Amino acid sequence: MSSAVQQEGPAHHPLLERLVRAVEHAGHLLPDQGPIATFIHHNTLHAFQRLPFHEAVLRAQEELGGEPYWSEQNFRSELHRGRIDLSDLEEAFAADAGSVRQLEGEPLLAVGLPVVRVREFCFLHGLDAPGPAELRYRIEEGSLLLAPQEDANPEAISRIIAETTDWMDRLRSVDRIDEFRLRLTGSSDPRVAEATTRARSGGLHGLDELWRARHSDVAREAAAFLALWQRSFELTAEIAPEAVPSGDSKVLLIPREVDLLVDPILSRLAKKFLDEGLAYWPMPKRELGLYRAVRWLAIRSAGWPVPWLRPLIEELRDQERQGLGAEEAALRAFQGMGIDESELEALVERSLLALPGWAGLMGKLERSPAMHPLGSRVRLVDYLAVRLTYERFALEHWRSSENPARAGQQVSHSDSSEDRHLVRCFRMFRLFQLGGVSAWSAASLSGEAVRRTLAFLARLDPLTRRRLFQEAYEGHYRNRILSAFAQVPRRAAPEPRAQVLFCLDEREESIRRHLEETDPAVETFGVAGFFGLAIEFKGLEVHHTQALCPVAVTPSHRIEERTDVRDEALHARRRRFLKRRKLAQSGAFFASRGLFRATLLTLLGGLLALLPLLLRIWSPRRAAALAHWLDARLSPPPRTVLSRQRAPDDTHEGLPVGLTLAEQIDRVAPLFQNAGLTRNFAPVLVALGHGSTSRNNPHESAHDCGACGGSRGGPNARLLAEILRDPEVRAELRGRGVFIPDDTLIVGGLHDTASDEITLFDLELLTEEERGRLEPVIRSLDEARGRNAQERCRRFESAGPKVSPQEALHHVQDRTEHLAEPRPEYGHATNAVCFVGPRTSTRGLFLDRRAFLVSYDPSADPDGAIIERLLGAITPVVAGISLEYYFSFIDPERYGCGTKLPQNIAALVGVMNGHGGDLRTGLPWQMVEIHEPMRPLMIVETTPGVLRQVLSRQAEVREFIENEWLQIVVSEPDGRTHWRYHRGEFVRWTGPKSPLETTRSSAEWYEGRSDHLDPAFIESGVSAS
Amino acid sequence: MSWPNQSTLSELFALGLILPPFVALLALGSWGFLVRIPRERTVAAWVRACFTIWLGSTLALGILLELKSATDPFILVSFGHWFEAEHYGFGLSLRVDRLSGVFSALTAVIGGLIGRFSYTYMHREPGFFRFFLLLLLFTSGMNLLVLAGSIDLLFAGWELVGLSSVLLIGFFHERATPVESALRAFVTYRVFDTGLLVGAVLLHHFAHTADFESAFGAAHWPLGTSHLDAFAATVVAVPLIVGAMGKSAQFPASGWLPRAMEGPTNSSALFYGALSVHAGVYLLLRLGPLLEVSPIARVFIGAVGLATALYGSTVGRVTADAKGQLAYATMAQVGVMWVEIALGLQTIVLVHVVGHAFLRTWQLLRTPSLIHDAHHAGLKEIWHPDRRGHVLEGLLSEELRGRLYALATARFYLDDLIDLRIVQPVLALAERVRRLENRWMALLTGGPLGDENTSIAPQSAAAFSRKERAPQAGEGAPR
Repeated sequence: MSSAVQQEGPAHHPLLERLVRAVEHAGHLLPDQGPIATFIHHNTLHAFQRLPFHEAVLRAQEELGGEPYWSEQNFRSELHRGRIDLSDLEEAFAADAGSVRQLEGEPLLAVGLPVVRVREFCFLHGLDAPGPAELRYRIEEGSLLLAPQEDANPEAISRIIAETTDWMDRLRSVDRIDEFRLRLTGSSDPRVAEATTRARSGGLHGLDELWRARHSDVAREAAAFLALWQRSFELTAEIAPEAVPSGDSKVLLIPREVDLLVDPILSRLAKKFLDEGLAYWPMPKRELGLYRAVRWLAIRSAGWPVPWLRPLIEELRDQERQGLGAEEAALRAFQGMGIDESELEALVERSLLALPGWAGLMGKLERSPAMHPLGSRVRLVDYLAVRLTYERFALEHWRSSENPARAGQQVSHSDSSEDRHLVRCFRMFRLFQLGGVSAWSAASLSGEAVRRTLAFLARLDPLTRRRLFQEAYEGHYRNRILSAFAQVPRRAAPEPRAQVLFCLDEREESIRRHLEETDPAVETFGVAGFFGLAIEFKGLEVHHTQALCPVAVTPSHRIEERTDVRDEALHARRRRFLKRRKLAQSGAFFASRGLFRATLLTLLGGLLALLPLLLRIWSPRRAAALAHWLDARLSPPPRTVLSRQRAPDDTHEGLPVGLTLAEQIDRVAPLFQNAGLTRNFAPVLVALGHGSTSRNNPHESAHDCGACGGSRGGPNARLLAEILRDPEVRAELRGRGVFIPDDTLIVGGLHDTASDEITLFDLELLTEEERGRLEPVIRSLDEARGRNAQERCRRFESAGPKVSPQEALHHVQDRTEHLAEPRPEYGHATNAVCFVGPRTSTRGLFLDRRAFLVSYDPSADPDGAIIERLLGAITPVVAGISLEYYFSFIDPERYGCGTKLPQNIAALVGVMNGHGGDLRTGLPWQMVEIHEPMRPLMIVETTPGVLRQVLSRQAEVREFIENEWLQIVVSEPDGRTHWRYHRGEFVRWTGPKSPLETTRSSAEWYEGRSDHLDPAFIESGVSAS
Repeated sequence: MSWPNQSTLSELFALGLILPPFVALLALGSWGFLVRIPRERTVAAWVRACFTIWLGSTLALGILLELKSATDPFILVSFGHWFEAEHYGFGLSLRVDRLSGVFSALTAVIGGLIGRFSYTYMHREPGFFRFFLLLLLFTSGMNLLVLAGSIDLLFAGWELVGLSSVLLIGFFHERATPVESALRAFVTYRVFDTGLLVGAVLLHHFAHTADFESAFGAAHWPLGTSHLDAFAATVVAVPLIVGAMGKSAQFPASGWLPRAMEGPTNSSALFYGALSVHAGVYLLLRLGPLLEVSPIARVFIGAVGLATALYGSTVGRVTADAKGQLAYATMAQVGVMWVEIALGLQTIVLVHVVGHAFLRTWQLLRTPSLIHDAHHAGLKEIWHPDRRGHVLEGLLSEELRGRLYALATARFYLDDLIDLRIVQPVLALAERVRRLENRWMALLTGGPLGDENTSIAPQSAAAFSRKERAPQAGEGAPR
C-alpha cells in the first residue's frame, strides 16, 4: 500500500499534495488561540468570517458542533425580564430575509387568530412537538389531554370550555350520546369510543361516565380537550405529508471507540511535546518535531502489554528505517486504514477536530513560531501523522476484536406517517388551546388553511426562531441606546483643568464618567491603549519581551527599561536578590515534586506552608501588602528610565532600540489628531494605560489591554509622557498641527482594572510647582477609582448590597489577591456597543460599562482619512473581543472553556479540564456569566457618504459589516439623525424612543441594583455651562 | 455550683471534637432536602460554626490531656455499645491520644481552611450546597476514622471518606470524564476495602475484640504492645495493609489518584493533597503495635511503599500538567511514609504527614498561579530544562533515559495491564455467569431463553477502560 509513495517519491505524489492541502484547510477550522500567557481575543469563528453571520453559525454548528445562538429558553426569560419586547420580535420578523416570510395572508383568521398571534405563540411557547413516543406516553398517562398545558392562557381555556359547555347543553336537550361519542373520539361505535376515551385520559374517564357527569366541571373540561384533540386529529389527517428531507446518512469514518483509545495518548504526547518547562524531564528529541520524537520514543517504549501497540511500534520502526517524514507517514497511515481515497480530506478534518484544542495550538504555533520556544519545529502535519498512525492501529484492533458495540452503530429510526400525523395534530392542538379555539370554532377551517398554518409552523422552526430572537434582542438594545444618544443634552465644555487619556476599553467608561462627575473640569479621551507606540518592551525585572501593540501590528521598535544611573548599585543588589529568590522558588518547586529532596522538604519545612495558607485565605489584601512590603524592604527596586532616544547602532535582534525624533513625532501626532485633541490643551495631561492583576488565574492575561496584545499598557503610557515632555518634540509637533503648550504637565500611568489601583510614573521628576498642579488631579483620580470600584461591586454578589467607595476598593483588592477568586473582575463581560465620536456626544450618559468609547472629531476630518484609519484599527479589536464573549457565552462547552473550578494547567500553555483530555480554548464561564450575547453595535459619528468610502477601501472592516458580524450605525454630527447600515443601505433610524431619565449622579442610578441598567443622563457628569 | 471533674470535662470536649461536623451535616442536609436549599451565607455560617467549635475543642482537649499526663496523654470515651451479642459487642468508643489528636486537629485546620476557601471559590456554582454537604460528610468521616476506638467504627469512617471522595471526583457529572474517574476510584476503593473488612473479621477472631485498646494497647501510642503473637499479628495486619493501599493510592492501586483531579481544585487539595490520601498512613500508624511483632507485615509495607515511591516519582517527572504532577508527587511521598513505617519511625511519620498535608494543600490550591509564576514572575528563565536532572539522570545513557521516559509516559502500562488482565477477565466471567443464570432460569421456569444480545458486560467494560475523553468536540464527529 505504501509502495506507490516510495516509487513516485514523496513530493510528487498527488495524494500527498491533497493531504497537505487538507491539513491547511482543516487547520483553519481549529481554534486560533496561542499559549494562554498572552491571551488575545479573536472571533471564535474567524474561519467562517467570509460567510454572513447567520450562515456562518449554522456552518460552524455542522462542522464544530457548537450552538449558533443562545437557547430559546434563555431568550424567553429575557422576554419576561423585558430585555426583548414582542414588538422587537415583530420588527425582526419583518426585517428577516429568510424563509419565514413565505406565509402570506392570514389563514387562521376564520377562527379569530391573526397570523401575528400565531407568531406570538410560536415565540412565547415554541409549539414544537416532543417525539412521538413521548407524545403517546403523555396521552396515555393522561397529562396531555385532561388539563390545559401549564403555559396556557386561562382566558383562552375558559373560552374553550364555555363553548364546549354550550354544545353539551344543546346536545342534552336531544340526548344525543352518539354525537357526543363521535365528536370526542371520532367513532360512534360505543365500544371503540369507550376504549379511545379511556386510552386518551390515562384510564381516568370513560365516555359513558363523562356523558353521565356532563354537568360537572371535571367532565366539561375533559370533554372540551378531548373534543379539541379529536378535531385537531381530523383536521390534520388529510394533509398530504410534506416531503421529509432524508436524513443525511453520514458515514462514521472512524468509530468513537478508536478515539477513546487514541485521545488520551495524543493529549499526553502533545502536552509533553509543547511543555514549556513544567515537567522535570523534558521530552527527549522533541527538537526533531513531534512525529520524529514520538517515533523515537515509541520504538523504545516496550509496548508488549497492550496488544494493539505492538504492530504500531513495528510500523514506526520500519518508518524510521526508511527515514520517512511526517507527511509521508500521515499518508501511509491513511492508506493503511483501508478507507476510500476520496475520503482523505474528510478524514484529515475529522482527525484534527477530534482534539481541537491541541491540534489548534499546533497549527497556531506553526503560523506564529515566535510564540513558543520550540519555534518552527511545531507543525500541524506532525501532529496529524502521529494521530493517524495511532488511529490506524486502534482501528485495526477495533475491527479485529469481537465488538458487540459495532452492531449498535447503525441505529436508525424512521418516522412513520402515523407519527408525523400525531406531531401535526399536537401542534394544531396546542395552537388552538393557546388561541382559545374550541373544537366547534375550528370546524370552520379549510384544509388549505390548516395546511398553510402547519407549513408556517414548520418553517418557524427552533433555529429560525432563535435567529429572530437574536435579531430582536439586538434590536431592543439598539433602540434603547440610540434613543439615549439622540436625547442626551450636549453642552459645550468649559476650559478644561486637566485632560486624561484612557484606553477605549469599555471597562474605562465608568471610571471616565466618575472622573468627570468628581471634577467637571476634567476632560477625558478614549484612544487605543498602546497610544500609537507599537513597541517591543523589555522590563527591567522581566526576562522576556512583550509586544505592546495590537496583534495585527508588528512592533517597530524595542524599548528597554533601564536602571537609572544613580541607582546602579541598588540595581546590582536587586538583581542578585531576585535571582536568588527565583532559584529558591524554582528549586523548591521541583524539589517538592521529586523524591529525596521532597522528603526532606516536607519533613522539615512542610509546616511552614501553613503560614501563607492562613494569611492568603484570611486576608488576601493584607497578605499581598505584607509581601510587597517585605520585597521592598529586603531589596528596594531601583529607579528606572526608558530607552526612548534612539542611539545609533543600538539594535536588538533586528529591532532598533529607541525612537528617533522623527519617529517619535510620526507616532505621537496621529494619536492626537485621531482623538481630535490638537489645541485647547489643559495645564495637566495624564495618559493612563491599563492592565489587570489577578492571583491564581490562568486567564489573567485575558483581562489585560487588548490594544497592547494582551499585556499591560503601562510602559506605553510612560513612554508617551516621556516623549511629550521633550521640548523638542513639542516644537516639532506644532508643525504637525498639535499645539501643546510648553508648560503643560504630562504624566503617564497605569490603571489596574481589577484592583482599581492607579499608578503614576516618574513623579520624582516633577518640580514643586508641577506637583502642586497635579495634586488636585490625583485627588480626583483617587475619588473616581473608589467610585468605579463601587460601581463594579454592584455586580459582585459577595460585595454585599451597599458598599462605600472605600469598602469597594478593599473588596476589589481582596478579589485581585484572593487565591480562591474565580472572577477577579468581569472583564469585557458587559461589552455591547462601540461609540466613535467626540466625548461631548456621550458625556453625562450612563453607559453601564458597556461601551467602547473612541474619541474622534468628525469636524477635523472632512475627507474621512482619520476615520478610515481608526475603523481599520479598532474594528478587528472590538469585534474580536465582543464575538469571543458572544461565543464563549452561548456555548461555554464548545466555544468557551467551561467552568474554571476543575481546570488544570497543562504544559504552561493552557488549561485542561481536570486530569486530561483536550486543551480548552475560549473564555471560562466565570468570566462571561453576566454577558448579554449580542453582536457588537458600532455607532460612528460621521456621514453615510464617508462611511461608504471607508467600507469600499477597508476590506476587513467591510467583511465584518457586510457579513453582519457587527452592526453599524452612522450618527450625524448633529447627534439627532441616525442611519443604520443594513444590507448595503443606510436606513434612517426613527425610533421607538424611550424616555431618557435624568439623575444626579451615577451612584444614584445604580445604587441597590445589580443587573444591566438602561442609559440615563447624569447631571453632574457635565458641568453647568 | 460545682465544677465538673476533669474526666467529665474531657468527655465534653471529646464530644465537641466528634459532633460538630455531624450536627452541621444533619442540620444542613435535612434543611436542604426537606425545606429548601439554604442560601450560601447560611451554609457558610454553619460550616464556620462547626469548624470553630471543633478547633476549640481540639485545643482545649489537647491542653487538658497534656496537663493530665505528659508521658501518656490519652482518653477513651465510651458511648456504650451500639449492639451486643453473646461474645461480641459493637463498641461505640472514641480514642483520643497523640496520634488521633494530631490527625483530628489536622482535619479541623485543613477542613476549616478549605471551607473558607470554598465559600469564595464555589460562589454561584450550582453545586454549592452539594459541595458543602460533601465537605461535611468527608470531615465527619475522616474525624470518625481517626478518633474511632475500634476497627469497626474506623471502618464506618473509612467508608464515609470513600463515598464523599467518589462523589466529589464526579462533582461535574454533566461531563463524562469526571464520572468515569469517579467510577474508577470507587471500584478501586471497593476492591481494597475488602482488605479492611477481612482484617477486621480476623482481628475479632484472634483478639476477640475490635477495640484497639484491648487488642494492642497496654501502653499508648506509639508505645502499645500487641496482645497477638507474630503469626496472628501478620494474618491480621496484612489484609489491613491491603485495605490501606487503596486509599493511599499505593502501587499498584495508584491509577485513580491522578484521575481524581477531575473534581474542583479545592476538593482535590483537601482529599488528595491533605487528608484522605493519608488515611492509609493513619491506619498503619494505629497498627503500630501489631507491626512491631510482625516483620513480614513490615517488609510488605516497605516493599509497597518503595515501589510506589519509585513509580510515583518517575511518572511524576514526565508529567506536564500541574495537578497530575502533584498527584504523583503526593503518592510518592506517601510511599516514603510507608517505608518510614516499615522502618519503625512512627514519630517521624507523624511529622511527615503534617508537613506534607500543609505543603500539598498550599501547592494544589496554587496550581492556577503557575502561568503567572512562569511567565510573569519570570520563573521560566530559571526553569530551563538544561539545568535539571544532572545528578541521578546523568548516570544513565541517552538510550536508557529514552526508554525510561517512554515507559513513564505510558505510566508503565499499569492501568492497561489492570484493565486487560483483571478488569476484562472479571467482566467476561460475570458475563458467563449471567448467561448461565439465564439458562437456569429458562430451564426452571420453562420460559424463553433470556435475551442473549443485551449483555451488560461490554458497555460497562468500555466505560471502565475508558481513560480520558476529549471534551465533546469531535466526539465521534461525523464526517
